[in-house]
Amino acid sequence: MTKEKTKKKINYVPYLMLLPWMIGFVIFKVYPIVVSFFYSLQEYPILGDPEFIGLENYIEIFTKDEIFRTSLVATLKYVLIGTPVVVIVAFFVAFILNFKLKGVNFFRTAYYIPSILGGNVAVSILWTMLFDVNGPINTVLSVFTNGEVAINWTKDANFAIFTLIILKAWQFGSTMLIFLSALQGVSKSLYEAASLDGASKIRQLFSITVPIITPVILFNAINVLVKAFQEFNSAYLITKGGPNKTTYFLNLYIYEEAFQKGNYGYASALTWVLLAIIGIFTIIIFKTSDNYVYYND
Amino acid sequence: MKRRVIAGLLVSVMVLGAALTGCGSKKEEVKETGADEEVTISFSWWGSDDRHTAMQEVVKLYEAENPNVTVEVVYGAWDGWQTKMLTQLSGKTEADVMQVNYNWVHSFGKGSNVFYDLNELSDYLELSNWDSDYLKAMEVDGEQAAVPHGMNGRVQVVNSTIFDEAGIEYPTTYDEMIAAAAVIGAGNTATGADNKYVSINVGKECTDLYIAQMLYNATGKVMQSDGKVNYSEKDVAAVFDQYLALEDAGALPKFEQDDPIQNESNPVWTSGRAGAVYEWAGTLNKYTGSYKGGGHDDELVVKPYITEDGTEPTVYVKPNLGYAVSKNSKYPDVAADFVNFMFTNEEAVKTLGTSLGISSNKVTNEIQEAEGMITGKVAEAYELLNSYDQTIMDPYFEDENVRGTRYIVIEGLRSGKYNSQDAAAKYIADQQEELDKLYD
Amino acid sequence: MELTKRSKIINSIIRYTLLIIVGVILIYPLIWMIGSSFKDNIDIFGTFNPLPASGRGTLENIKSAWNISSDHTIWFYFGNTLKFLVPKTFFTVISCTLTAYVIARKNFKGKKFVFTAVIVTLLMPELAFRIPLYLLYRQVGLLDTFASLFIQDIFASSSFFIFMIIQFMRTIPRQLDEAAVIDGCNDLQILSKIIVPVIKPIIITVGLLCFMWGMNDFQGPLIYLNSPDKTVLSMILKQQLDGDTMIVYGKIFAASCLALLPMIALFFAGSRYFVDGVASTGGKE
Repeated sequence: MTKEKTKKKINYVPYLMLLPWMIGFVIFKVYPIVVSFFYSLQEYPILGDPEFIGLENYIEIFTKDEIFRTSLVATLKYVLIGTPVVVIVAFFVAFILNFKLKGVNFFRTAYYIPSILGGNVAVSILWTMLFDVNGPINTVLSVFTNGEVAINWTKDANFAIFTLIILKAWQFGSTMLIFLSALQGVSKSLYEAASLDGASKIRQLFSITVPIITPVILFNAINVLVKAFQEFNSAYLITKGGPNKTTYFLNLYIYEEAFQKGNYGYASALTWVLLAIIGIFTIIIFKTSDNYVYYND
Repeated sequence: MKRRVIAGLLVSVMVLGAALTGCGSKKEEVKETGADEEVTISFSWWGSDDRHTAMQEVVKLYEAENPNVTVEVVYGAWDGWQTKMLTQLSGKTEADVMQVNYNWVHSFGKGSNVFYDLNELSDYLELSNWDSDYLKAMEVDGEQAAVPHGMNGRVQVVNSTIFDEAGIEYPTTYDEMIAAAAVIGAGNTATGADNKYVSINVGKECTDLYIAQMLYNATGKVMQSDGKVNYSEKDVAAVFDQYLALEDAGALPKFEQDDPIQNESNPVWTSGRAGAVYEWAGTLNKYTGSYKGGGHDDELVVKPYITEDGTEPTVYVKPNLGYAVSKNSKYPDVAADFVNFMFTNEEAVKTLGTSLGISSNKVTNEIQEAEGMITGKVAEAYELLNSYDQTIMDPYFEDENVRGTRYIVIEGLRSGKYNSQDAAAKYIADQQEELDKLYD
Repeated sequence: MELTKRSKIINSIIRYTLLIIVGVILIYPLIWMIGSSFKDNIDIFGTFNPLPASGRGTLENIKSAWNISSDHTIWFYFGNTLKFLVPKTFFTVISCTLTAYVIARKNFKGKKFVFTAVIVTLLMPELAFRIPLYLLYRQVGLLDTFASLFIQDIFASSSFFIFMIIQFMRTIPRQLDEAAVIDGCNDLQILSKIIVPVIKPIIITVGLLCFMWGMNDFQGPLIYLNSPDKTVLSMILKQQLDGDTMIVYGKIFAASCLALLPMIALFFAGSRYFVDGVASTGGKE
């Protein structure tokens, strides 16, 4: 009897505290998501009258659309190579910037600058100049190959995507900052104990630091992955999706379908496909994460 | 904080309510707006800083003449403007008077007019000031969707120094182009940083138009009419081969040799290593201004487009931009009057100068000429264009779906992904498929 | 003892050299941009030397960037940016911290659903939301107001930041707040007195990131704002890049440099603060 009673008593406090989020979720997320799903079932010229066509947009995407296939390959390449590169680079830079050094604050700011620059026009111009076939990157590479190489970075369908991956790696700032915050939170006393045991710095890193911040590593991995799937700016500014659509990422494709060509229904369907793909990858990461992520709760 | 949250809650409830009701707009007869009635209309455009200043001056002039009218202005840069326009039009929040691009007029509504039919406003907007051909270019489904500001076509801006130094004449045929390349580009390398070319095409749009013009010259037929591509695979393949031959000879840069800076700051052009550039007459000042850092106009001349046999080409022209009135405007008569003012008021025309190019409106054009506003290379270019037979570009020539397929094929052709036969087949089939969607 | 001292010095020399080399590579584009803002167009392209050719430097670009439009200086547009960015950052920090706390620390029915919902919305490409939200904002009269750019943040709309804070809270031992519950603290007290001080670095990171990203955002303001007197910094920078006239790159770079100054200052201040923050909570645990 008494057991029953306590069970029935609901604690309203958590719900009350979640209220703002719940309102926002319904208005700013659920509503547009539902609407966009309906759009995806329509032939919807952005300024014309929508016409219900069922799954035709999806059928077109998977059976006929060559651009979608090219675009998907480009996106997957970018994500699968770019994500680990960025996470690893960001982690090691954060590890180094966590040392107690005089002036480390200055370096932290300097190292974040590429990310502040973001999609600035100076970056896009400099990048095309850097990777020009006669540019400095090739000059440096030619030292190792007796002046033989001339990778035409921006024009060669096999290499153009790497210019964007390198750009992404260069703008590691936000990911690094999040790692740095995590490292700052690792208690000094843990290290002190380890030092007494005579553990080396590298061993400390893998046996103490990494396990403690696994939730943050997970967060960064998922976040970098999701952002990479949604990459738009760099391709829009630097390669324009070329050459031959090899850097035409899905988000760029969606944008152009919707706001250049005005095919809003088709763009919505593409969005749902992209969402599904990101979802699958995220589920895989979450499911496997149970094996190595260590939570305090 | 608490008050904010409550306000937020209220807003969200309102949002939900509003979302369920939706809204529609009905078209009514044009009612004359009284001279004493307080009226506010809005006016949107994109452009550069010069244009923003000039347009705002014109707005002030109009407000001074019509004290009961307030004109709110909305402006920005070209980049992203189409997105903004589409969003506004879909939300019925567009300005009363809009500067519009040629391809928007036809493509946004996929063949039906999304703007006010200006024929209904002819009491306020003097349509007879335009050639009927020019008006027709902006007619959609029997309605006058917009009025054009001016006409525009591409010309070759030639750097005569490079030809003088090489001791040769500017070529008039493709064979001469190839011969000239042998002299000018003698020292060219596969990827060379200091290569020289007879002519360059900067960007996808430029290359597309260059090839379109070659096709027009070769066949005497326009790209498409009434939703049908007019060329055979043989026609197209032959022109593609010709284009590749020009590239192979070094007359034009190859795909791998194109400089990645694809605007007027293209180093090949600014450093004087290109014999010519193919550009819109209306905006070629960009290229005269960037050539060797500016101030070298004496080295530049406007030359005819090169053809197979040196005969005069028939060239494509199009309205560079136009003005449309919103279907949702409360005061379409005032909006139309404002457009009329921009074209016919002497002060207004003077203020705008040639920041929008040379006008095809007769009144505007007279004032522009009388005031001697048309000068320099732009004047030369228009003179040249007017000496040719002109064809107004098909409404769907620049439709993003249609020309998008051409861009893909041309890039594939130039980069060696397709041979000229396959490219030609794809060029026709893919365009046709997109045109069919527009005409079904 | 002598040996370790010497090796320590060598060690730090190596560290600094490395830090400086990497640093130069990372900020070279900024140096190039600063240098190029003293150049004419023709001297900008094709050279990586940030210094203007001798006798060709110009101050014109800085002047025209300072008076960026015919009506206002660049700081007017910066001021407009602050008008939506300050509330945006404020609301984001507050609402996301609160939401994250509930999800990370409270037990309630539907918790799993809420967490999943946060993750799913994190995955949604924002492009899909654009038109439906625009129509909503029109209905409630939010168009052309700065509020349209931060109203979402009142309602903890950034799944990214919620998820981030949750993950950080999960690295804090539970015993801390359990002890506080026994002491009779309520949720808000636990949050503000115990959790927030511990994760101060991350709260500051959230604020910084929110601010920086909001500053660079161009599409949002472009679509929602109309009045010229509400033009924000990212829009006025884009306005210098028009296709119909010759682009003066030096002016754009100069304007970008001016726009960067407050950001770099803010970042420097912020990063110093979070180091101090950690120091003051010391060896917590």
